Amino acid sequence: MNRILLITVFFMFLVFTHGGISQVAETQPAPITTSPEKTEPIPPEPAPPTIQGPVVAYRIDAQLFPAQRSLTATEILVWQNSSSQPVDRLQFHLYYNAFRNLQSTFMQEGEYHKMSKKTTSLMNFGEIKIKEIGFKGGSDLTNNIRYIAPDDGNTNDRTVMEVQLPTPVEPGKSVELKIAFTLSIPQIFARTGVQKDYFLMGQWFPKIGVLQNDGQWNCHQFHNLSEFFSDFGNYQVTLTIPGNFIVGASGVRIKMEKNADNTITYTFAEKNIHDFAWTAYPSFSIYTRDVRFPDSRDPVTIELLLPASKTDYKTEYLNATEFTLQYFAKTLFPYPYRKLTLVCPPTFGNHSSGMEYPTLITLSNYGRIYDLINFSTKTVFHEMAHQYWYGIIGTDESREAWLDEGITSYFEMELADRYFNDSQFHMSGILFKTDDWEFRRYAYLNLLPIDAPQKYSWDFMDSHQYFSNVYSKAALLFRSLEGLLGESRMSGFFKYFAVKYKFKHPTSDDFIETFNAYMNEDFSWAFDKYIRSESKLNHAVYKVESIPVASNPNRYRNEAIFTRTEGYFPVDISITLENGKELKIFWKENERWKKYAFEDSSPIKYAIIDPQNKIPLDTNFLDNSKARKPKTTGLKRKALSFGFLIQNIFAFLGF
Amino acid sequence: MNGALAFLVGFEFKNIKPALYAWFFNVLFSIGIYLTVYILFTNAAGSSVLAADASTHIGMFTFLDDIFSNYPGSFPFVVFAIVFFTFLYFLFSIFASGGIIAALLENEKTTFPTLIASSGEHFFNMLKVFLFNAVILIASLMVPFGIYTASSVLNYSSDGGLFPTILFYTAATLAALIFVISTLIYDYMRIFKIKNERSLYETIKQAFSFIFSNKWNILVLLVMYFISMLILYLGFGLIRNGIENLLNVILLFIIYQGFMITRYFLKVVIIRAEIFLIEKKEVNP
Repeated sequence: MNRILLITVFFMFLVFTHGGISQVAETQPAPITTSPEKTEPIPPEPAPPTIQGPVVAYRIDAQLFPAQRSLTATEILVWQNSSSQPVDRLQFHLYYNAFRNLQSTFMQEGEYHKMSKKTTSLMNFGEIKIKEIGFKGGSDLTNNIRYIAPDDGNTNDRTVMEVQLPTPVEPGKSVELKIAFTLSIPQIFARTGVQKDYFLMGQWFPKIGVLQNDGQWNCHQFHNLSEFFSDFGNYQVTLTIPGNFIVGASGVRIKMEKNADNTITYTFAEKNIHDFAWTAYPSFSIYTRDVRFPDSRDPVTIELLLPASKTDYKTEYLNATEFTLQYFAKTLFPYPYRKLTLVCPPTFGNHSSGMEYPTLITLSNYGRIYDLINFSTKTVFHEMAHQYWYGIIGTDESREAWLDEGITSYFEMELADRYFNDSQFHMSGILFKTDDWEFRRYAYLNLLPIDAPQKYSWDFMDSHQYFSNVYSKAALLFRSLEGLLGESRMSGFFKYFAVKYKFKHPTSDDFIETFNAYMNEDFSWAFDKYIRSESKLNHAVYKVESIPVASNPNRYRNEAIFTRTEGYFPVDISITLENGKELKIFWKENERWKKYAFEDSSPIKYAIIDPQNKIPLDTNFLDNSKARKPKTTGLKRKALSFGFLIQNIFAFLGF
Repeated sequence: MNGALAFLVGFEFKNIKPALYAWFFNVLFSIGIYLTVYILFTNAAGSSVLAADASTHIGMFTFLDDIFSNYPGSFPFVVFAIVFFTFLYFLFSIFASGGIIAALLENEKTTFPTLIASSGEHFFNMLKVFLFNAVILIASLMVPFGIYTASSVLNYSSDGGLFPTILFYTAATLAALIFVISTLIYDYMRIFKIKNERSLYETIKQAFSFIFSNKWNILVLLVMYFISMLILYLGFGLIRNGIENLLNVILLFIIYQGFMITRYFLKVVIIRAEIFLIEKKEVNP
């Protein structure tokens, strides 16, 4: 009996386990089959394309004719469809067409058309003409060109060219195009062009737009307030220029050949950049310096091109640039390129000043009076910060200018604080010591709360709103976050973000998401309030009061009320009693007002909100404190000092 | 030699009263501006700890920026007050100058009532001389201004270079010379107007003639005046930073006024010296 039972159980075990295995086998995901109603297989979700190599590779051969203010060139462009969609048309920037006439979007937005006839009749316009475009060794696409105005529909604007392709380019595939073009080089209206014999050539070649992953083109017209955005790639540019010109360019010079007609052909190349600019001027003086780093990696060579009016600035420029390279090597990552070119325009070329290009920056040549506020040196800091944020991280300067300019301006302030031992703008006894952040705050205080920093550059009401929002307000937000979180955490975050998004074109969403993740706390409110909306901030001490307690006159019922009439920012509060005791509180809650009431043997002497002025987004520092029994000695001194200045002026002018 | 002697002659005790008289109008109208600014500051920050602190967490730039940004109308108000009190000061300075120069011409001990009466007596003459000199000064400054403009345009279009630099320094030197000569002419016109009571035309001829026939003595006089002013300003500059945050406000005000009285005294000294040179010339033509 037991043996039968055992065999039965064993047999049943075999049946069931074998069946179970079958069952398991049968529940494995079956190959996709069609339902009886469909005749076509359902395609799987397309995988994101694997990008082999750079998105773009440019090879440009150009010859400059200075006397004619013209240039002819041939461009070979290899472009890869890095999106997940096939694309049947290509869009290019033709920035030089912004200077074609007064009807372009750039000119209209800049109100050049409102200038006097005499002024406009003296303007030297320019343009870029596409002679031919086609597949290299293949079909001609010149007749497939049309000009579009995706932003404002201005049919007179030719800064975006669209080329219809005979067959779509599939995701991950490349095309090789040959483009022959000529430039008629305009005067320098903004950043690029020619003045006398000084050429600064930025945005000078047909530059393909950025194809987003969804197959839509990010290729905007050239607006008066917008800057630039393009894909990372490799560049090799050959320039043939008369031999008397001194030439500087992005990248490294890999070849230089003298020609029989007294021209020189220079070849420059660089990898992993997203633009290429160059300059030519017979009267540059060249100064170089190799910047070496503590870890003995390859040095970075600075090549400084100075006009006659600024040769005495060479040491200052080289020192400031070296300082910046060393600072960023420590706080972000080492500069990844071998050469950096600094170009100071001559006085008449100053409309090309203060601009960033990959591995090339233009300095400023305004009057020397501006160096009372160290303007020349601060321009170095600003443009060098752009080398990282615009040049290497590669944010979109046209759609999200705040992300580039705001971070750059923040780092400009950090560099200025460290480089200048004493505050700038110091004229002892007469005028005021002023730090860089105070100038930024001045711009912020004077901006109308009608534009949010995060908008397309051309959507701001005017240039003042644009600059004050995108540069100053954004930078002050970072400074305020630094005040809240500490310099070390902010510094750690920027390093983390920069390393993570090197060469990756992060967006505002990427930035905010990374910030929240790094800080391990949700700071979206900060960006929602101060970047995505027009808000400003004002917190204040509303009232301080100390009343003796009726039952015990040696004790006081103390009360301090703090308000937020605008905005929100967690902030330190300090209440100091007459006996010297200090209460420190951190007001984190998002409330419009807060009352602190307590009893103590000592009455309140004063209360301060943000005692260290760590939150420069606050629009009024003057209401940040209240004394129970105010003394006005300090104000009397300030007024007396001012009055004494007036007396001296009177004495000079009168009797 | 006469220039140096003339300068030293002016350092007489009796010349303090005219200096005090000139200083009085300066402090009177400066107080107007001081009070305007003080009222503005206290309205904006009177109950804050900034009001009490001698040195604050925020610099003057941000302090003023916050006032003018957060209190609309405050900036035009301050500008208006400065312009208004400056205009009044100019008028009273012209008024006072007549009495002071008349007293220095008499070279006797004077009283405040005499100074006031004398100022009233000579006011319209002094006003005429002032307006005349103001017009001549502005017209003369057009020359260096033109040269400076040319240097700016050339500097811009040629990116620096030697010629625009030469032009710039020429303009600066010319402007400085014009200021100095204009001040001298103004002083001597006032002196000769009160002394001789002739027409404006005769007075300016007299002033020009005297200045250029005594140029070396006047030059010595000017150098000594300039050096004494330099010593005064540098010396005060050295102690100023040390005292500003330490002293009681009233004491600070007194020290500032001590400086201003000394400054005006030096001006009285130089006018007395200019008169001395005239007297010396009259005795030894």
